[in-house]
Amino acid sequence: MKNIRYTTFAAALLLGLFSCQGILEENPVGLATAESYYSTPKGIEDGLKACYTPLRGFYGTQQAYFLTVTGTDMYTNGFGGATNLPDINNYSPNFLGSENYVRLIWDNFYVGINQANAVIARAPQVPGMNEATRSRIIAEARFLRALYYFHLVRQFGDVHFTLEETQGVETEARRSPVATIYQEGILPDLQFAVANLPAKAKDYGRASKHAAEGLLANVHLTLGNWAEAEKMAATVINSNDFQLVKNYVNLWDVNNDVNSEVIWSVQYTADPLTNGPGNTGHLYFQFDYTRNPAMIRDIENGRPFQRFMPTNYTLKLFDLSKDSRFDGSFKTVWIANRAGTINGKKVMPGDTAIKIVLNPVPDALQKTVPYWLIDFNDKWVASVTDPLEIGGASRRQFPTLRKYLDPLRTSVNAEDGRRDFLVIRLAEMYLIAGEAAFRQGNNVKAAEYINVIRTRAALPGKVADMQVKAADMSQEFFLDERGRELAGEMHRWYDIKRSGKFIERLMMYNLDAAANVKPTHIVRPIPQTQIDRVTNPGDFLQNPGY
Amino acid sequence: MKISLTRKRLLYRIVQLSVLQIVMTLFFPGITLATSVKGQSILDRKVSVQLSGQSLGNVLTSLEKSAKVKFSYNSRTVDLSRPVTIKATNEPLSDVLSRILTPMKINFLQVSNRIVLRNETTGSLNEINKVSSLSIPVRLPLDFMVTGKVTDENGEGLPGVSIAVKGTQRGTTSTQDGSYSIAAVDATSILVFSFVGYLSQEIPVNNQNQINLSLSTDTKALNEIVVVGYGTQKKRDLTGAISSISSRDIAETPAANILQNAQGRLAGVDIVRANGNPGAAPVIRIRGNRSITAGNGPLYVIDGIPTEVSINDFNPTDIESMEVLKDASSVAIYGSRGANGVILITTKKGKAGKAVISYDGYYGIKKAQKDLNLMNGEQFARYSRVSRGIDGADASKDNIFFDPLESENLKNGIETDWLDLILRDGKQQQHQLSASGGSQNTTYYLSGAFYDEKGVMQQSDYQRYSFRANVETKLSERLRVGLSSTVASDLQNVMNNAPYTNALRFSPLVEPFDKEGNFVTYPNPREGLVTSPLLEYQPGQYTDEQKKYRIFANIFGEYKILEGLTYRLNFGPDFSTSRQGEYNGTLAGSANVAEVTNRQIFAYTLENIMTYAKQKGRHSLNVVGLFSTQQNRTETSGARARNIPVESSLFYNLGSAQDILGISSSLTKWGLVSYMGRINYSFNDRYLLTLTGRADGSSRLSPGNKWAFFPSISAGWVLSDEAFLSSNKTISFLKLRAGYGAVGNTAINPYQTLGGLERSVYAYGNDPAFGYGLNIIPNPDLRWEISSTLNVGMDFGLLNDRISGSLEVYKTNTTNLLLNRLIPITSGYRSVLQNIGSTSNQGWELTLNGSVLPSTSSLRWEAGLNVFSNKEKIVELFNNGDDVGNGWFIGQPIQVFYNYQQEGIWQTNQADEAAKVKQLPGDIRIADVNGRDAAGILTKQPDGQINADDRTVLGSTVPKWSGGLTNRLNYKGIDFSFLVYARQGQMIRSDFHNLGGNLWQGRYNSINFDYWTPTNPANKIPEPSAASAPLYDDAVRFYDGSFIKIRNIVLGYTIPKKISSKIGLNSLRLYATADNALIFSPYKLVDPETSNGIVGGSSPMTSATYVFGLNLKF
Repeated sequence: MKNIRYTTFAAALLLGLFSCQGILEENPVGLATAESYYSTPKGIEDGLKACYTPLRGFYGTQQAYFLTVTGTDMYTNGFGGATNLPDINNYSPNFLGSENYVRLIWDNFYVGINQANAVIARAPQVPGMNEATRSRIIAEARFLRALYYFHLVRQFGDVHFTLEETQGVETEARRSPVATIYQEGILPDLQFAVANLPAKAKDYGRASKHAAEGLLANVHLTLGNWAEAEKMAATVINSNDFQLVKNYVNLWDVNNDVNSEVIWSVQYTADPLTNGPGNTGHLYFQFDYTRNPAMIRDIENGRPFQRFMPTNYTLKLFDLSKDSRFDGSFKTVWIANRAGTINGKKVMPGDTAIKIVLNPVPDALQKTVPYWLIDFNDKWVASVTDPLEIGGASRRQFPTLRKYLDPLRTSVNAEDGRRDFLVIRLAEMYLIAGEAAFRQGNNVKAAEYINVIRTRAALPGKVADMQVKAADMSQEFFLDERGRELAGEMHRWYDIKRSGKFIERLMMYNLDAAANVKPTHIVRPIPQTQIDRVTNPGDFLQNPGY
Repeated sequence: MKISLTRKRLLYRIVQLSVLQIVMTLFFPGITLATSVKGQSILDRKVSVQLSGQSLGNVLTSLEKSAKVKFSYNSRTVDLSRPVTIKATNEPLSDVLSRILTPMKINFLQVSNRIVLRNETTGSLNEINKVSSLSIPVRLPLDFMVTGKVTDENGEGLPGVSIAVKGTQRGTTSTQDGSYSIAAVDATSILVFSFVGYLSQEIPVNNQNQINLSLSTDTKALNEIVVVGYGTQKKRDLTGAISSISSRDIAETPAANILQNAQGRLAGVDIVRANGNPGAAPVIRIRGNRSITAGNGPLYVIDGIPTEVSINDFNPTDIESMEVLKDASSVAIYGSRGANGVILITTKKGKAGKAVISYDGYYGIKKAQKDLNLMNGEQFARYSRVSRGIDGADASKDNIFFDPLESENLKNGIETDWLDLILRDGKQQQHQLSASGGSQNTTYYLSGAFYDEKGVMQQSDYQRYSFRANVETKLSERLRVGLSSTVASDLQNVMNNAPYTNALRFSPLVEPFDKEGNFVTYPNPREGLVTSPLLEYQPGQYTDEQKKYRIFANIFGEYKILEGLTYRLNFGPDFSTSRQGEYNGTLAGSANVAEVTNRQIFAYTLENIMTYAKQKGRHSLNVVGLFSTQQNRTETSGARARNIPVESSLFYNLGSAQDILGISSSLTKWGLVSYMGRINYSFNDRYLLTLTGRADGSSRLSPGNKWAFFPSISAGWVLSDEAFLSSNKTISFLKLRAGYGAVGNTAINPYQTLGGLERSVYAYGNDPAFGYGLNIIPNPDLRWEISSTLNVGMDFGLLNDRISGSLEVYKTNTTNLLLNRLIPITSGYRSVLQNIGSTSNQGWELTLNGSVLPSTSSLRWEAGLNVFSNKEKIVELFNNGDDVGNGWFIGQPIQVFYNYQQEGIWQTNQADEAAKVKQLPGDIRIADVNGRDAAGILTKQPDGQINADDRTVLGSTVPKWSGGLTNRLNYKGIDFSFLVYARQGQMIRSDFHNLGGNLWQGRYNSINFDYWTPTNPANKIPEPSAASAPLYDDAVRFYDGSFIKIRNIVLGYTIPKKISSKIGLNSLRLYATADNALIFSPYKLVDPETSNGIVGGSSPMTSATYVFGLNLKF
C-alpha cells in the first residue's frame, strides 16, 4: 500500500510539473503581427518602408526592362534575348499569360498596393503621432500606390482595383475600367501626395512633393491632359530645386547616381544587407566582348547577358556631329585586358580591342586594323551575316547602353548592382512640358523647353547647332527627342503606346516584332495564375488575343 | 514498451512450457523416453471409489481428482456416456481401471504422466483393414518406437522441441542435442513436431523407425507478437490493420535507412526513393496522400517515443521489428498525429543468457547508369546546324555558330564524354559490432555501427556512427526500470546538381583541360553562362556539408501496483543539433560565398500509462489509460557572407568576410497534451473488441479550436474457432474484423493562426530602411484536419497455416483539410492556410505468406506477396470546382500533371492544318480538347484554337497499384532470396526531355533524340530551332513511369557449425546482394522510380549497388 501512495504521489508531482496550460499557449517571441505592430508610430513607419520594397521588384529588374525597353522601336532582342526570351520583344504566339515576367511584375505591384492600402487605412488610427508625420506617411504610401497602379493600367489595361487593405481571404477579383482607376485612384492619390509631402524628402529616396508632381505630370501627359501636364512639369522645373547635370555622360557616372538632376530614384546600395537583389541592369544591354581574342570577362566590362540591342532606328537617331547623347548613352570602345592577336597583329592590354562605328567601313580596313572594327551598314539584324558588323554573328555585336553599367560590383559575375535607378529626372520634366505645350499649340514654348535639354546635350561648340525651332515641333519629333534623351530608361514602351504610334513604329523599326504585332498587343496578357486562381473566372477574362 | 496482459500471458506460457520441457528432459528421461518401463507409479496408486450408475465421463473425472491423474482419450472413439458402477477401497488404480474398462473393450496405458485410453475395436479394425489389404498376416506391436534428431535450419540440434503422436496425448521433447525417441501408436501414426518460433511439422511415421528432420523458423505465424502502440498483441487477436517487417527482412537489404529496407515488403505502404544523394531519406506514404498542405508523412514511434525529427539517425541493424499501423482503429491511440499512419519501431533487446557478440558488416559498390545516349560530337553538330535551318550534313556554315575550337575538334574527331567524367563508382559499407545477453534480472543489448556511403558524384557521401544501449533491470519483484537509447553522429556531403545538369548539356566538342592540363572554367568559348561540369569538383569550389548529432532515448520505470495493474512512466528526450555549411568558390568568376546554419532541437515526451489486465473465465480485459505531454523547441541561427579572404577557411570564418549578406535566427515551440484510453475485450478468445478514445490539445491551433477528441471502435471474430469451421481441413484460421475511427492532423507550422509580418529590406540613400510588411493572412479559425477510416479486414490461414495472409478493404475520408490555398495575388497575398475541402482514399491490400514446397522438403521455399491499390482523390475544394491555379482537380489525386497533350508533330503534309493554330511543320502538335462558348464558359469541345484551356490532366504521380514478392529459398545452409517490387500506373515527367529555355535550340547538348526534320518525319520530338524554344515544349515530357524491378537479390551461405566452431565462431554467414540491379519499365532512359514524379534534369543519378557481407557470431 505504501508503494501505491508513493507512485500516486510521484505521478501527481509529474502532472503538476508539466502543466498543460503553458504547453498549449503560443508565444511567438520573434513574430510581429499587423494588429499589434501597425498600431504604433514605429510600426506604421516600418509598414511604410515595406511599401517601398516592391520598387525593387520592378526598377532594375530584367522583367521590367523586357516589358518597357524591348518590343519597341528602339530596342530588339540581342543574342541572349533571342535565345532565352524572344517572345516578349517578338510579340510571338508564345507570348501568353503563362509568361513568367508578366506574372512577376503583376504580383509585385499587387503586394505593394495591399501594403500601401494597409498603411493608408491604419495610419489615421495610430495614437501618439503628430499630424504632420501622419499625413506624410499616408502621402508617401499614396504616391507609391499611384505609381504601382499607373504601371498596371498601362501594361494590362483594366485591372483589379481596390483601395482597401485585404481583410481575411479574398479570392474574387474584378477588372475595373482604366478610367476609373485613374479617376478614383491614381489622380487623387498623387494630388494628395503633392499636397502633403515635403519639398525635400525626410530621407533621400523617399517620395517628395516634387516626385509626386513629376509623376503626376507624366500621368497627365499619358491621359492627354496637356495643360495639367505642362503645369505640373513646369512646377518642378520652376522650383529650382533641381539642375541638369552639366555633361550628359556624367549623369551616368556610377559614382554620381545621386546628382542635381534626380527628382526621385529607386535606391540601391553597396551593402548586401540593404541592397536586396540589387540593380541588375548592368547585365542586359551588353554584348559578349569576351569573344574578342584580347578580352576576358572582368568586373570593369561586366557580365554580358546580351539581352537587348538597339535597333537601326536608334543607331541613326543621333546626329553624332553635335549631339553628345549617343556617346553619353552608349559604349562603343573596349580596351584590351589581355594579350591577343587580332588580324595577325599582337594586341596588348591597354590597346583598343573593339571599336564600333555607326557607318560602313571597307572590309579591307576591317581586316587590317589591330582591333575589331565593327561597322554599321543599316541592314536589319536578322540579315546580317558579317561577324564584324553590328548584329553580326547572330546579334552579338552592338553598342552597349552605359546607363546601367556597374564596374563597382564585387566580382565578375556578381549580379547585385549598386546603382540607384533614376525614375524621375529633370530632363524628363522639360520633355513633358515641351510636348504638352506643343499639344496645346504653343510650339514656341515647346521649343523653349526642349532647347534647355538640347543645350546641355550639345557637343562643345555645337550649342547653337543643337537648337530647335517652333517649326520643328511635331509628334514624331517628340518621340525622337525622348528617344535620344531617355534611351533605355523604361519609358519607351509607354511612349509609343500613348502616342498611338505603337503598331506603326514597330512595323517600321522593329522587324522582329513587325512579323507578329497586332493591335491587341497594346496590353499585356493577364498572368495565367491570376485567371486560374480567381473564384469568379467569368468576371476576370484574359485580354483578347492572348 | 508496455507489456500487455496478452503478451505476458503468452510469455508466461512459453516460459512454463520451456521450463517444464527442460526439467523433464534433464531429470526424467526415463519417463519421457520409454513408456514401457516397469514400475509405473501412477497406475500403482491406491484409490478408493464408490459410484453407481454414473457416466464413464463422471467416473473418470472423479478418479482424476482422487488419484491426481490425468486421462487422455479421443472423445470420438471412447463413449463417455456409458453407465458405470464401481466400488473399490484402497485398490491399485490399474485394477480399478481394468474392472471398468475391460468390459467396454477399452485399453489403457500410461504415457508420461497421463493415462491414455484407447478403444480396442478401432485399433483392431485398423489392423484388420491393413492386414487384409496387404494380404499378409502381420502382428504389429502396439507401440512403434521412433527415434531421430530435430535440427534447425542450420543443422544444429534443437533441444526442447515437443513431439506428439497425432490424435493421442503421447508426447515427448527433444533432448539437448535435439534427439528424441517416442513410442508411436503404430506404424501409420503421424508425429507432430512443434516448437515455439518454428513452423510445426507433421510427419507420417510410415514404418520408419528413424525420422530426422529440420524445423524452419516461423515467420508468418499468427501467434507472432505484434507491437500495437502502448502494448503488444498476438497477431490473432488484432482488430486493426497492421503490417510489419522483422529484423530478418531488414537484414536482406543493405541500406542506410529502415525505409529503404522496408520498400516493397509492406502492403499499403508506398516507399519511394527521394533522390540519389547518399543519406537522403525516402518518401513514405501509407494508404495515399490525404492532406494537400499539412504533412502526409507518418508519425514515427521509436521504442514508444514519438519523434518528428529524422529517422535517418537510427541504424536499421538495431531494429527488431517495424510495425505500420494503417487504419483508424490502430492509430486512434495516437489521435491527432495518426492521420497519416504510425510507424512503430522496436529496437533489439537482450535476452537472459550467455552473451552473444556479433559482427555484421558489408562492403559494396554503387554503379551509376552512364549510358544516356547523349549526342556525340557529330550528332551535336548536325543538330546545331538543323536548329539554324542548315542541312544537317552541311558543315560550311559551322563558323557562324560554332567557336573555331569546336569546328576544329569536330574535324579532328576530338570530343568529350562529360557524363563519364563527372560520374564515379560509389561505395557503401557498414560495420557493426553488438553484444547482447543478460542475467535473470538484467538484460542488455549494446551496439556500435559505422555506415559509410559514397555517391556516384564526387563530394556526395554520408557517414554515420551510431551507438545503441538498451538495458532493462528488475529492481524488485514489482519495479522494473530501463533505458533504450541511441547516440548518432552523421556527416552528409551533398553535391549540387550542376555537374550533372551541365554534363548533360555541355558541348561535346570541347575539352575540359587546356594544353597544359589545367582546368578551364569556361571550356566552351562561346558559352559564358554554363561553367564546366567539373567546376564543382575543383578543390575549394563547392562544399555543402551537414553535420548532425542526435541523442534519443526512452527512459522508463514500470511498477506493478497490484496483480494486473501496472503503472509505467516513459520519459523520452530527443536532442539533436545540426550544422549545415555551404561554400561556393571563386573559379566561376563570382566572389566566394559561404553560409552556415545551426539548428538545435530539443523535444521530449512524458507519458504516464496505467494498464489493467484481467482474465476471468472466458472473459479477457485489457485497459490502458494515458496522460502525456510533448514539447518541441527548435532554435536556428545562421549567417551568410561574401568575399572571404582566405579561401581555405570555407564557412569556418565568416567574420573575416568583406560583406555579410545576411544574419538570421529563430525560435519555434510547439506542444501537445493528450489523454488516451483503450479497452481491449475478448470473449472466449474468439470475439474481440477494441474501443479507443484520445483527446489532444495542440498549441498550433487557435484558442477554442485547440482540443479535439478522436474515438474509434473495432471488432474481430475468429470464425475458425467456431464449431462449423473448426474441423475444416482447408481453412485453419479465419478471422473477420472491422473498425471505424477518426484521427487528426496538425502538421502545420506553429504560429499560423496569428498571421504575421515579414521583415522587408530597402534603403534610403545609404541608410538601411528595414520595414515590416504583411506576409501571412491570420486565420484564427484553424482547426484539426480529420481523417475517418472504415477498415474491413480478414486474416486467414490455409492448409494448417502453410499459407497465411490478410485482406483489407478501406475507405478514408479526410475533411477540414488544412489547405494552403493559392489565391489571386490581387489580394496582396499569394496563399492562405484554411480548413477547407476534403479528400478520400480507398483501396485494398492483400498479403500472402506461405511455403511453396511442403515443409518436409529439404529445399525450403517460402514466398511472401503483397499487392495493394489505393485510389486517392480530391473530393471537394473551396468553390465546388477545380482549382486550376494550384493544379487541383476534383476526382483526381492531389499531385497530377496538368498540361497540354501532345498529338505528335505537325508533318509536312499537315502544313495547312498547322497554320490554323499558328504553327509550322516540325512543331509540337497539341490536342484541341477544350474551348469556350460565347459566354466564355468551357465547353470541353474542340474549338479550333490551342490555348491555356486545352491543358488537361495527363496523369498522376500516384501508382494504380503496387506490390512486392519475396522469395526465400534455403538448402543446406545456402540461402537465396529476391524481392520483386512493382509500381504501376504512375506518370513521370522526364526532364531529359525538357526542350524549353535554351535546351533545344542548338546551343546545348541533349539526348540524341530522333527529332523531326523535313526528311525525317519523327512524331515525338520537334525540329530544333535556334530562334526559340518549341511551343508547348512541356508536352513531350510525360511518360508512363510504371516499373517492375528486382529490388534486391541475396545469396548467402552459412558455414556448417562443425567448421565455424573450429575457428572459434558460433556461426558465420557470408552473403552477396545486388540492389536495384534489374529494372523493367516502358520508360527506358533511367530508373523511373521517383518521389516527386520527376526524373532527369535536376534529379541526381540513381544507381545499382552490389554488396558483399558477412554475419559473425562469437
